[in-house]
Amino acid sequence: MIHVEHLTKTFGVVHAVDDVSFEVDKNEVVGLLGNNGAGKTTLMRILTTYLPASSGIAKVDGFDVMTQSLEVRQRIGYLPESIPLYPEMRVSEYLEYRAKLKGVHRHNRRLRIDYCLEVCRIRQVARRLLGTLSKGYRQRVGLADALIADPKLLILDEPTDGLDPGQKQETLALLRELGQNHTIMLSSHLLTEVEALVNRVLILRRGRLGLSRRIADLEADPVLLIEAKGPVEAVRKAIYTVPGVQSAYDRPAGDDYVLYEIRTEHDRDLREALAASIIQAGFALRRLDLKRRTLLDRWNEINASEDNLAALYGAKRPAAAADSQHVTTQSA
Amino acid sequence: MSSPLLPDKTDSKLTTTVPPAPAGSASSELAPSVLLEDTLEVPRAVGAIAAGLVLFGGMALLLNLFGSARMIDVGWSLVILALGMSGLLFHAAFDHEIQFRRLYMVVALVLLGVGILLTVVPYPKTMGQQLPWAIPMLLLGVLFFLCFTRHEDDPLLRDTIERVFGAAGVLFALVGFGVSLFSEAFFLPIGFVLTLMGLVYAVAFIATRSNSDDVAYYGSLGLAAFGLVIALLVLARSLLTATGGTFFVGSGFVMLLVTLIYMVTGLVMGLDNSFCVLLRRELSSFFLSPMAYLSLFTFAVLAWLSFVFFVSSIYGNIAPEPVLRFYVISYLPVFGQLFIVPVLTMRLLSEEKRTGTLEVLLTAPVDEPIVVLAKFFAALLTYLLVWVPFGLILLAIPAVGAPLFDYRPILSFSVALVVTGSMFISMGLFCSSLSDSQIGAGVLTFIGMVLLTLIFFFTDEMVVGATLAPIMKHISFMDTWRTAMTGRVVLREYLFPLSAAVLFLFMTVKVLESRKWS
Repeated sequence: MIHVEHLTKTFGVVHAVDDVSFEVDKNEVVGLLGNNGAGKTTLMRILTTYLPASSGIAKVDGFDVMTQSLEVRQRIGYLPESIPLYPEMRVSEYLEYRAKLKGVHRHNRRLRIDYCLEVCRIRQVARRLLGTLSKGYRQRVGLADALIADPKLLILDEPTDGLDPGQKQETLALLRELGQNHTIMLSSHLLTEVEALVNRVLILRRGRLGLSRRIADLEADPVLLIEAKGPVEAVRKAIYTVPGVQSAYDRPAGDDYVLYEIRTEHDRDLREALAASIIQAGFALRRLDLKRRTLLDRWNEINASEDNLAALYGAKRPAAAADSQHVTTQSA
Repeated sequence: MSSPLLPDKTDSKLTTTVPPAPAGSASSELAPSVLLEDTLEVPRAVGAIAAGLVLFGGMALLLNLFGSARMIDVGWSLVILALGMSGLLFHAAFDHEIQFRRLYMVVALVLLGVGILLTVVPYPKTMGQQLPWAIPMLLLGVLFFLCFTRHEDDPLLRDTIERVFGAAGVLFALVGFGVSLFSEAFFLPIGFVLTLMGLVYAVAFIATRSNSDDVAYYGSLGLAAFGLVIALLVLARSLLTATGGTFFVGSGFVMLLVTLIYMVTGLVMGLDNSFCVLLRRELSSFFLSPMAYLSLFTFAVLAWLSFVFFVSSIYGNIAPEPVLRFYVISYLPVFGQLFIVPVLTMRLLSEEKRTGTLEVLLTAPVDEPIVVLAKFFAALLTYLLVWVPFGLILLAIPAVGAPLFDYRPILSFSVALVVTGSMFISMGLFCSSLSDSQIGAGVLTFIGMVLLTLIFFFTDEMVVGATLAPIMKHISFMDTWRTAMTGRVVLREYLFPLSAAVLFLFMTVKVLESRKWS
């Protein structure tokens, strides 16, 4: 449904979106995560054809967002971040206007408006002026607008922002329901709500794609934890002698022990081989564990490495230093 | 309760403590979605003062008309009455309390009834002599009607009243055109007024129901079809009957123009292509904000002042011809429109940019040129509408004792107004696209308008020399107006304003598209 290839968007010297590639299947619910300024909104604006990309390809349902922008816009429903609305219109008037603009035929226009008023729970404000609505209602009017033409793809920029916990639950339930036969891309910085809803997560940090995984695969992507005593470099050497080890991340674990987080190729469980290798090299071993990483772990890893980068290089971001400092790859 | 999706299915899926709202219960939600109430203090205060003014002005008027002369004469009592009525309309537009909206419903119905009565009553001698009273009443009636339907939430009552006003529109149009086809004397002024009123009422009817409603949808297409049928009848009457020639020159031509307006209006109201949808939204946003009303009010006052000056220049029974020239090119309207154009155009794009609605608009399947054209035509129509009070007051010239005047310069002047107005509005639209500050756009447009107006004073060869003078004459819209007011349509004078309009519109589209240049 969405096909993005080497997408880059620069504003002057700032890379808002930086060489991002991913693929979203039909009827997938995708969560776009990232800190403020990570490039979520820019990426969504490119997908909705509002902004052009500086380079790269983005396609929605097979249509290029640059060259076939009208076809793309006929297939999306977009909820922008700040939900701009015309203050002088009434809710039902606004939805009717949007339905006409999006080409909903007059025979089922009233039905669609009725349906959207119902599922977005804004029926009781249908005759109110948009300018008098509170944030929670504006959010839901925006969602109703995105839904009105029953688009194949919904692009929602922080759809639960400004809602109270109860409304959040209801909105998420609605999105889950819609996700059965719509493709949905939503952005958020709330991990827990996203984790429960989406099939796939994309994590952006500073415009780069830090992670693009299905939620189901996330669990089957373990880290091996080893606590060993001995000089770090020597232990590392012992670890890297095991074939299949990809990277090792170390941090002190107390009592002179060092904790190594080890990632392996194809997520192989190499615990036995690792234990054998370390003991053979003559180091003490006290913990041998397999940790399934949650989304939160991934999030922390991605953003921690970003913080480290920031601490190391200041504001300047080096070109090819995505994995550095603590994480050393085998080839390095 | 027919809730196809949410309530029953969410029950099973909600995991936390908040119970889902039972189907149909509307008010189970708490903060932060508390509804903010509209504040009504200002409209009510204005309404109270206005009611006082209406009573006072009305009393003074009645005493003047049916008693002896008073300290406050007819003119001043009319001014007070007009101010009061404007205040009441302001109140009616905001106050949704049942007692007030129902009261204004009654006011609307009374105005409609009395308006019809005054149109047909042959007092003091012939039919139509009371039109100067009937027209404002019918217009006020439709305005109060719009205020009422906007607030009414009893669907049956709303539907009934809407049908009453819609039927009134049909009646006006049928009588206006029907009788005028056979009696030339009827068309000016009664038939003409009736056909326009019919249009206004039909538009109000369709607009309040929106064309998703079947009655309104077929009504709007019917309006266009009706215009077409009448146009064919007028043509047939002009070409096929013995008196066709005089009929066409006397009233047929104007009737043809009105039917054209019927056709265009019907199509714009009925069709759902993106241009028509946007045009309707832009127009409604003009009339849902105070801008259009302020401009209309200002120009109505200017028209009235112009008229007063004009009447004082009539010696005896002879109106100076061409009437328009002395009536319009007084300083008042020229200076008035210096301000009107920026006021009408400044928010068009800058407001959408500032609030971000432009993003919502342009991510819908609609292209920039359509957006720009819709905004342009909406503003142009409003601009032309602002001039209507001038025309309406001209209808009163016979009433103040001057003989019938040559009305045809009005037509040529209208053409000139459309052409030069296109230039002004497109310039304003362009300025509005440049900035996301309304004030900035307004000031820029105002400067442009001042420059265009000042050029008029530099068309003299003595001032700018023989080479520059003819160029300046082409640019100066005042010269275009002056030619038009003698009743001539000179195409080459329209070349500059039209090219300027096209250029400004093109540049506006490019400014909107410029976000894509990186």
